[in-house]
Amino acid sequence: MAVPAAAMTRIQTFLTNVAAAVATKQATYFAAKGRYWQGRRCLLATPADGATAAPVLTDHPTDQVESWADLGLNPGANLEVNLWCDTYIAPGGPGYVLGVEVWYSGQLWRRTQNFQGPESWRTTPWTDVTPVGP
Amino acid sequence: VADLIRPLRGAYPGAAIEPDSTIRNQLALLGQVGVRYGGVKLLGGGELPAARAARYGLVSAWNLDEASGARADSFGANALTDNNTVTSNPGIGGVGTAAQFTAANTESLSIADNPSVSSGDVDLWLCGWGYPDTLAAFPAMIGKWGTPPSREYLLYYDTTGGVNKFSFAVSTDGTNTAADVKASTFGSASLATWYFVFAYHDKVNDLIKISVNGGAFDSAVFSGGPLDGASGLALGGSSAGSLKWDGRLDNCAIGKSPVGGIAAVAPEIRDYLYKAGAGRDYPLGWT
Repeated sequence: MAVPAAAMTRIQTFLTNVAAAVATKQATYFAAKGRYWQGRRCLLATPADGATAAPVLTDHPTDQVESWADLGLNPGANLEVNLWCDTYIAPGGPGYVLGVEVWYSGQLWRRTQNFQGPESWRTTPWTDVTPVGP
Repeated sequence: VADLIRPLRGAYPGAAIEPDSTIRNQLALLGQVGVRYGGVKLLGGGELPAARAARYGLVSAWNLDEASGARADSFGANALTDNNTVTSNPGIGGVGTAAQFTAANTESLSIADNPSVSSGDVDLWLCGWGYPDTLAAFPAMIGKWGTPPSREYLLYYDTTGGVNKFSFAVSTDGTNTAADVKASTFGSASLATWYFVFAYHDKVNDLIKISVNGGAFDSAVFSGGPLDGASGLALGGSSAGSLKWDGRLDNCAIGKSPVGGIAAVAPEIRDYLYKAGAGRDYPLGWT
Protein backbone atom coordinates (compact mmCIF):
# COMPACT_ATOMS: atom_id res chain seq x y z
CA MET A 1 0.00 0.00 0.00
CA ALA A 2 1.28 3.45 -0.84
CA VAL A 3 1.51 6.24 1.67
CA PRO A 4 -2.08 7.39 2.31
CA ALA A 5 -2.96 10.71 0.73
CA ALA A 6 -3.68 12.36 4.07
CA ALA A 7 -0.31 11.25 5.41
CA MET A 8 1.43 12.49 2.26
CA THR A 9 -0.06 15.93 2.71
CA ARG A 10 0.82 15.99 6.39
CA ILE A 11 4.39 14.81 5.76
CA GLN A 12 4.87 17.30 2.94
CA THR A 13 3.86 20.13 5.25
CA PHE A 14 6.25 18.77 7.87
CA LEU A 15 9.06 18.56 5.30
CA THR A 16 8.42 22.10 4.09
CA ASN A 17 8.60 23.44 7.62
CA VAL A 18 11.75 21.48 8.44
CA ALA A 19 13.33 22.61 5.17
CA ALA A 20 12.77 26.26 6.06
CA ALA A 21 14.39 25.83 9.45
CA VAL A 22 17.27 23.80 8.06
CA ALA A 23 17.90 26.32 5.25
CA THR A 24 18.54 29.09 7.74
CA LYS A 25 20.96 26.97 9.74
CA GLN A 26 22.67 25.65 6.62
CA ALA A 27 23.35 29.15 5.37
CA THR A 28 25.09 30.05 8.61
CA TYR A 29 26.92 26.73 8.78
CA PHE A 30 28.13 26.97 5.19
CA ALA A 31 29.40 30.50 5.74
CA ALA A 32 31.40 29.34 8.74
CA LYS A 33 32.62 25.93 7.57
CA GLY A 34 32.58 26.06 3.79
CA ARG A 35 30.43 22.96 3.59
CA TYR A 36 26.91 21.95 4.45
CA TRP A 37 25.87 20.23 7.64
CA GLN A 38 24.94 16.55 7.66
CA GLY A 39 22.06 15.44 9.88
CA ARG A 40 21.92 11.79 10.90
CA ARG A 41 18.63 9.92 10.90
CA CYS A 42 16.46 11.22 13.73
CA LEU A 43 14.88 7.89 14.61
CA LEU A 44 16.56 4.64 15.51
CA ALA A 45 13.75 2.72 13.78
CA THR A 46 11.62 4.03 10.94
CA PRO A 47 7.95 4.30 12.02
CA ALA A 48 5.23 2.17 10.46
CA ASP A 49 1.60 2.77 9.56
CA GLY A 50 1.23 6.19 11.13
CA ALA A 51 2.91 5.44 14.44
CA THR A 52 5.20 8.09 15.89
CA ALA A 53 8.41 8.09 17.91
CA ALA A 54 10.53 10.63 19.75
CA PRO A 55 13.59 11.73 17.76
CA VAL A 56 17.20 11.38 18.88
CA LEU A 57 18.69 14.78 18.13
CA THR A 58 22.12 14.43 19.69
CA ASP A 59 23.61 11.95 17.21
CA HIS A 60 26.14 13.20 14.68
CA PRO A 61 28.46 11.79 11.98
CA THR A 62 31.90 10.65 13.08
CA ASP A 63 33.56 13.38 11.04
CA GLN A 64 31.30 16.23 12.17
CA VAL A 65 30.68 17.36 15.73
CA GLU A 66 27.36 19.14 15.28
CA SER A 67 24.09 17.27 15.82
CA TRP A 68 20.53 18.43 15.16
CA ALA A 69 20.43 19.75 18.71
CA ASP A 70 23.73 21.56 18.35
CA LEU A 71 22.32 23.48 15.41
CA GLY A 72 19.19 24.32 17.36
CA LEU A 73 17.03 22.17 15.10
CA ASN A 74 14.06 20.36 16.58
CA PRO A 75 11.72 18.82 14.02
CA GLY A 76 9.15 17.90 16.67
CA ALA A 77 8.52 15.94 19.84
CA ASN A 78 7.27 12.90 17.94
CA LEU A 79 7.83 12.05 14.28
CA GLU A 80 5.81 9.82 11.98
CA VAL A 81 8.71 9.62 9.51
CA ASN A 82 12.44 9.09 9.81
CA LEU A 83 14.19 12.30 8.82
CA TRP A 84 17.76 12.99 7.73
CA CYS A 85 19.89 15.50 5.88
CA ASP A 86 22.58 14.29 3.45
CA THR A 87 25.26 16.55 2.03
CA TYR A 88 27.20 16.32 -1.22
CA ILE A 89 30.01 17.99 -3.10
CA ALA A 90 29.45 17.55 -6.81
CA PRO A 91 31.87 18.66 -9.51
CA GLY A 92 29.39 21.50 -10.05
CA GLY A 93 29.20 22.57 -6.43
CA PRO A 94 27.90 21.57 -2.99
CA GLY A 95 24.36 20.93 -1.89
CA TYR A 96 22.24 19.04 0.57
CA VAL A 97 19.22 16.76 0.51
CA LEU A 98 16.45 16.28 3.04
CA GLY A 99 14.93 12.82 3.12
CA VAL A 100 12.08 11.08 4.89
CA GLU A 101 11.13 7.42 5.10
CA VAL A 102 8.11 5.61 6.47
CA TRP A 103 6.70 2.07 6.41
CA TYR A 104 3.16 1.41 5.29
CA SER A 105 1.75 -2.12 5.08
CA GLY A 106 5.18 -3.69 4.92
CA GLN A 107 6.53 -1.36 2.25
CA LEU A 108 9.23 1.22 2.89
CA TRP A 109 8.59 4.57 1.19
CA ARG A 110 11.07 7.39 0.70
CA ARG A 111 10.81 10.97 -0.49
CA THR A 112 13.82 13.28 -0.96
CA GLN A 113 14.24 16.96 -1.76
CA ASN A 114 17.40 18.57 -3.12
CA PHE A 115 18.44 22.01 -1.90
CA GLN A 116 21.08 24.46 -3.07
CA GLY A 117 23.22 22.08 -5.06
CA PRO A 118 23.24 21.40 -8.80
CA GLU A 119 22.00 17.80 -8.67
CA SER A 120 18.29 18.39 -9.02
CA TRP A 121 17.75 14.71 -9.87
CA ARG A 122 18.13 14.07 -6.15
CA THR A 123 14.60 15.34 -5.65
CA THR A 124 12.44 12.25 -5.87
CA PRO A 125 8.72 11.61 -5.35
CA TRP A 126 7.49 8.97 -2.95
CA THR A 127 9.30 5.81 -4.00
CA ASP A 128 9.02 2.24 -2.76
CA VAL A 129 12.48 1.39 -1.43
CA THR A 130 11.58 -1.80 0.38
CA PRO A 131 14.80 -3.81 0.78
CA VAL A 132 15.11 -6.72 -1.66
CA GLY A 133 18.07 -9.06 -1.32
CA PRO A 134 21.62 -7.71 -1.36
CA VAL B 1 67.68 4.95 -28.27
CA ALA B 2 70.70 3.57 -30.05
CA ASP B 3 70.00 0.12 -28.70
CA LEU B 4 66.49 0.26 -30.06
CA ILE B 5 67.42 1.60 -33.48
CA ARG B 6 70.37 -0.69 -34.10
CA PRO B 7 68.34 -3.85 -34.71
CA LEU B 8 65.85 -1.94 -36.85
CA ARG B 9 68.63 -0.63 -39.03
CA GLY B 10 69.96 -4.14 -39.30
CA ALA B 11 66.58 -5.47 -40.31
CA TYR B 12 65.96 -2.69 -42.84
CA PRO B 13 69.33 -1.79 -44.34
CA GLY B 14 69.32 1.51 -46.15
CA ALA B 15 66.06 2.72 -44.61
CA ALA B 16 65.94 6.10 -42.92
CA ILE B 17 65.33 5.14 -39.34
CA GLU B 18 65.72 8.03 -36.92
CA PRO B 19 64.60 8.72 -33.38
CA ASP B 20 61.41 10.69 -33.19
CA SER B 21 62.45 13.52 -30.90
CA THR B 22 58.92 14.59 -30.13
CA ILE B 23 57.92 11.18 -28.91
CA ARG B 24 61.25 10.70 -27.21
CA ASN B 25 60.90 13.91 -25.28
CA GLN B 26 57.33 13.21 -24.29
CA LEU B 27 58.04 9.72 -23.11
CA ALA B 28 61.45 10.16 -21.63
CA LEU B 29 60.08 10.43 -18.12
CA LEU B 30 58.06 7.31 -18.61
CA GLY B 31 61.05 5.26 -19.66
CA GLN B 32 59.73 4.80 -23.16
CA VAL B 33 61.35 5.73 -26.45
CA GLY B 34 59.80 6.33 -29.84
CA VAL B 35 61.43 5.81 -33.21
CA ARG B 36 60.22 6.54 -36.72
CA TYR B 37 60.46 4.07 -39.57
CA GLY B 38 59.48 5.75 -42.80
CA GLY B 39 56.26 7.62 -42.00
CA VAL B 40 55.26 5.29 -39.19
CA LYS B 41 55.99 5.99 -35.56
CA LEU B 42 57.06 2.94 -33.65
CA LEU B 43 57.18 2.69 -29.90
CA GLY B 44 60.27 1.14 -28.54
CA GLY B 45 59.46 0.93 -24.85
CA GLY B 46 55.87 -0.20 -24.59
CA GLU B 47 52.28 0.70 -25.25
CA LEU B 48 51.13 4.26 -24.60
CA PRO B 49 48.55 4.58 -21.80
CA ALA B 50 45.93 6.02 -24.15
CA ALA B 51 46.45 3.22 -26.67
CA ARG B 52 46.20 0.57 -23.99
CA ALA B 53 43.14 2.26 -22.53
CA ALA B 54 41.48 2.25 -25.95
CA ARG B 55 42.32 -1.41 -26.46
CA TYR B 56 40.90 -2.27 -23.04
CA GLY B 57 37.76 -0.21 -23.66
CA LEU B 58 38.45 1.87 -20.58
CA VAL B 59 35.55 4.17 -19.74
CA SER B 60 36.59 5.65 -16.41
CA ALA B 61 39.54 5.42 -14.05
CA TRP B 62 39.21 6.87 -10.58
CA ASN B 63 42.58 7.13 -8.86
CA LEU B 64 40.87 8.49 -5.72
CA ASP B 65 43.87 10.58 -4.77
CA GLU B 66 41.84 13.56 -3.54
CA ALA B 67 41.62 14.29 0.19
CA SER B 68 37.87 14.96 0.04
CA GLY B 69 35.20 16.44 -2.19
CA ALA B 70 34.45 15.43 -5.76
CA ARG B 71 36.76 12.77 -7.23
CA ALA B 72 38.20 13.19 -10.70
CA ASP B 73 37.88 10.70 -13.51
CA SER B 74 41.45 10.48 -14.80
CA PHE B 75 40.38 9.04 -18.14
CA GLY B 76 36.72 9.73 -18.92
CA ALA B 77 34.11 12.28 -17.99
CA ASN B 78 32.60 10.64 -14.94
CA ALA B 79 33.82 12.79 -12.06
CA LEU B 80 32.20 11.56 -8.86
CA THR B 81 30.14 13.51 -6.36
CA ASP B 82 31.18 13.16 -2.71
CA ASN B 83 28.19 12.18 -0.59
CA ASN B 84 28.41 12.97 3.13
CA THR B 85 32.13 13.73 3.08
CA VAL B 86 34.20 10.78 1.94
CA THR B 87 37.63 11.36 3.46
CA SER B 88 40.98 9.77 2.59
CA ASN B 89 43.60 7.44 3.95
CA PRO B 90 46.83 5.95 2.59
CA GLY B 91 46.35 4.02 -0.63
CA ILE B 92 47.60 0.65 -1.81
CA GLY B 93 50.94 -0.10 -0.26
CA GLY B 94 50.85 3.19 1.57
CA VAL B 95 51.41 5.06 -1.69
CA GLY B 96 49.14 7.99 -2.53
CA THR B 97 45.67 8.14 -1.05
CA ALA B 98 42.53 6.08 -1.15
CA ALA B 99 38.95 7.13 -0.51
CA GLN B 100 37.91 6.36 3.07
CA PHE B 101 34.23 5.47 3.49
CA THR B 102 32.56 5.47 6.90
CA ALA B 103 29.43 3.37 6.72
CA ALA B 104 27.90 4.95 9.81
CA ASN B 105 27.87 8.27 7.96
CA THR B 106 26.33 6.84 4.76
CA GLU B 107 29.27 8.01 2.68
CA SER B 108 29.61 7.22 -1.01
CA LEU B 109 30.82 8.60 -4.33
CA SER B 110 28.36 8.74 -7.21
CA ILE B 111 27.40 10.00 -10.62
CA ALA B 112 24.01 10.07 -12.27
CA ASP B 113 23.19 7.55 -14.97
CA ASN B 114 24.68 8.23 -18.38
CA PRO B 115 25.40 6.10 -21.46
CA SER B 116 29.10 5.69 -20.72
CA VAL B 117 28.50 3.76 -17.49
CA SER B 118 25.41 1.94 -18.68
CA SER B 119 25.63 -1.70 -19.60
CA GLY B 120 23.02 -3.74 -21.42
CA ASP B 121 24.17 -6.82 -23.31
CA VAL B 122 27.75 -5.67 -23.88
CA ASP B 123 31.15 -6.78 -22.71
CA LEU B 124 31.61 -4.95 -19.42
CA TRP B 125 34.40 -5.04 -16.86
CA LEU B 126 34.86 -3.26 -13.56
CA CYS B 127 37.43 -3.43 -10.82
CA GLY B 128 38.74 -1.77 -7.71
CA TRP B 129 40.96 -2.15 -4.68
CA GLY B 130 39.14 -2.57 -1.40
CA TYR B 131 40.43 -2.40 2.17
CA PRO B 132 37.57 -3.27 4.53
CA ASP B 133 37.52 -1.86 8.04
CA THR B 134 34.43 -3.93 8.72
CA LEU B 135 32.40 -6.34 6.60
CA ALA B 136 28.67 -6.27 7.28
CA ALA B 137 25.36 -6.07 5.43
CA PHE B 138 26.59 -6.70 1.88
CA PRO B 139 29.00 -3.78 1.46
CA ALA B 140 29.25 -2.57 -2.13
CA MET B 141 32.45 -1.49 -3.86
CA ILE B 142 31.18 -0.25 -7.22
CA GLY B 143 28.09 -0.64 -9.33
CA LYS B 144 24.77 0.59 -10.62
CA TRP B 145 22.41 -0.92 -8.09
CA GLY B 146 19.60 1.51 -7.49
CA THR B 147 16.21 1.13 -5.94
CA PRO B 148 14.28 -1.68 -7.64
CA PRO B 149 13.49 -1.76 -10.53
CA SER B 150 16.73 -0.01 -11.44
CA ARG B 151 19.34 -2.56 -10.45
CA GLU B 152 21.97 -3.35 -13.07
CA TYR B 153 25.35 -4.62 -11.88
CA LEU B 154 27.16 -4.65 -8.54
CA LEU B 155 30.58 -5.62 -7.21
CA TYR B 156 30.13 -6.30 -3.51
CA TYR B 157 31.03 -8.55 -0.59
CA ASP B 158 28.45 -11.18 0.29
CA THR B 159 28.32 -11.29 4.08
CA THR B 160 25.79 -14.10 4.21
CA GLY B 161 26.83 -16.60 6.84
CA GLY B 162 28.69 -19.44 5.21
CA VAL B 163 29.40 -17.43 2.06
CA ASN B 164 31.64 -14.46 2.90
CA LYS B 165 33.03 -13.85 -0.57
CA PHE B 166 33.54 -10.99 -2.97
CA SER B 167 30.68 -11.23 -5.45
CA PHE B 168 29.46 -9.83 -8.75
CA ALA B 169 25.70 -9.59 -9.18
CA VAL B 170 23.67 -8.63 -12.24
CA SER B 171 19.99 -8.03 -12.85
CA THR B 172 18.04 -8.13 -16.09
CA ASP B 173 14.71 -6.85 -14.77
CA GLY B 174 16.09 -4.29 -12.35
CA THR B 175 14.58 -5.98 -9.32
CA ASN B 176 15.73 -9.57 -9.08
CA THR B 177 19.30 -10.83 -9.13
CA ALA B 178 19.65 -12.85 -12.34
CA ALA B 179 23.14 -14.16 -11.59
CA ASP B 180 25.59 -13.72 -8.76
CA VAL B 181 29.08 -15.17 -9.02
CA LYS B 182 31.15 -15.64 -5.86
CA ALA B 183 34.93 -15.48 -5.68
CA SER B 184 35.03 -18.99 -4.25
CA THR B 185 38.47 -19.78 -5.57
CA PHE B 186 39.96 -16.95 -3.54
CA GLY B 187 37.87 -17.48 -0.44
CA SER B 188 36.94 -15.14 2.36
CA ALA B 189 38.47 -11.74 2.99
CA SER B 190 40.11 -10.41 6.13
CA LEU B 191 39.78 -6.95 7.60
CA ALA B 192 42.41 -4.23 7.14
CA THR B 193 43.86 -5.89 4.06
CA TRP B 194 43.98 -4.71 0.45
CA TYR B 195 42.18 -6.77 -2.20
CA PHE B 196 42.01 -6.24 -5.93
CA VAL B 197 38.66 -7.40 -7.28
CA PHE B 198 38.05 -7.70 -11.01
CA ALA B 199 34.74 -8.78 -12.56
CA TYR B 200 33.24 -8.85 -16.01
CA HIS B 201 30.29 -9.77 -18.18
CA ASP B 202 31.02 -11.74 -21.33
CA LYS B 203 28.18 -11.15 -23.80
CA VAL B 204 29.39 -13.73 -26.32
CA ASN B 205 29.70 -16.65 -23.94
CA ASP B 206 26.90 -15.51 -21.62
CA LEU B 207 29.02 -15.58 -18.49
CA ILE B 208 29.90 -13.36 -15.57
CA LYS B 209 33.23 -13.86 -13.85
CA ILE B 210 35.13 -12.60 -10.85
CA SER B 211 38.73 -12.76 -9.69
CA VAL B 212 40.51 -11.55 -6.56
CA ASN B 213 44.16 -10.52 -6.40
CA GLY B 214 44.89 -11.71 -9.91
CA GLY B 215 43.77 -15.25 -9.17
CA ALA B 216 41.71 -17.62 -11.26
CA PHE B 217 38.23 -16.56 -12.32
CA ASP B 218 35.07 -18.04 -10.93
CA SER B 219 32.16 -17.93 -13.34
CA ALA B 220 28.38 -18.18 -13.55
CA VAL B 221 26.05 -18.48 -16.52
CA PHE B 222 24.16 -15.32 -17.35
CA SER B 223 22.41 -14.45 -20.60
CA GLY B 224 20.74 -11.32 -21.84
CA GLY B 225 23.05 -8.79 -20.26
CA PRO B 226 22.44 -6.48 -17.30
CA LEU B 227 19.59 -4.02 -17.44
CA ASP B 228 20.40 -0.69 -19.07
CA GLY B 229 18.43 1.34 -16.58
CA ALA B 230 18.38 4.72 -14.91
CA SER B 231 20.38 3.95 -11.79
CA GLY B 232 23.37 6.12 -11.06
CA LEU B 233 26.81 4.60 -10.58
CA ALA B 234 28.18 4.57 -7.06
CA LEU B 235 31.37 3.65 -5.25
CA GLY B 236 31.23 2.70 -1.58
CA GLY B 237 27.55 1.84 -1.46
CA SER B 238 24.59 0.99 -3.61
CA SER B 239 23.01 3.70 -5.71
CA ALA B 240 20.02 3.46 -3.38
CA GLY B 241 22.05 4.65 -0.39
CA SER B 242 22.40 1.25 1.24
CA LEU B 243 24.98 -1.60 1.16
CA LYS B 244 27.55 0.74 2.66
CA TRP B 245 31.24 0.03 2.27
CA ASP B 246 33.18 0.63 5.47
CA GLY B 247 36.85 1.12 4.67
CA ARG B 248 38.97 2.26 1.76
CA LEU B 249 38.66 2.03 -2.00
CA ASP B 250 41.45 2.83 -4.42
CA ASN B 251 42.08 2.75 -8.17
CA CYS B 252 38.63 1.80 -9.33
CA ALA B 253 37.87 1.53 -13.04
CA ILE B 254 35.23 0.45 -15.50
CA GLY B 255 35.45 -0.49 -19.16
CA LYS B 256 33.32 -1.78 -22.01
CA SER B 257 33.81 -3.64 -25.25
CA PRO B 258 37.58 -4.18 -25.24
CA VAL B 259 39.24 -4.92 -28.56
CA GLY B 260 39.24 -8.65 -29.22
CA GLY B 261 36.37 -9.38 -26.86
CA ILE B 262 36.37 -9.54 -23.09
CA ALA B 263 36.92 -13.30 -22.94
CA ALA B 264 40.30 -12.96 -24.63
CA VAL B 265 41.45 -9.77 -22.93
CA ALA B 266 40.10 -10.03 -19.37
CA PRO B 267 43.07 -11.94 -17.93
CA GLU B 268 45.43 -9.39 -19.43
CA ILE B 269 43.45 -6.43 -18.06
CA ARG B 270 43.21 -8.07 -14.65
CA ASP B 271 46.91 -8.82 -14.44
CA TYR B 272 47.91 -5.44 -15.81
CA LEU B 273 45.81 -3.48 -13.32
CA TYR B 274 46.70 -5.76 -10.43
CA LYS B 275 50.41 -5.34 -11.20
CA ALA B 276 51.40 -8.07 -8.79
CA GLY B 277 49.78 -6.21 -5.93
CA ALA B 278 51.01 -2.71 -6.66
CA GLY B 279 48.02 -1.30 -8.57
CA ARG B 280 48.09 1.41 -11.21
CA ASP B 281 47.04 5.05 -11.34
CA TYR B 282 45.96 6.32 -14.75
CA PRO B 283 47.84 7.51 -16.79
CA LEU B 284 51.28 7.60 -15.20
CA GLY B 285 50.94 4.12 -13.76
CA TRP B 286 49.86 2.70 -17.12
CA THR B 287 53.35 2.45 -18.55
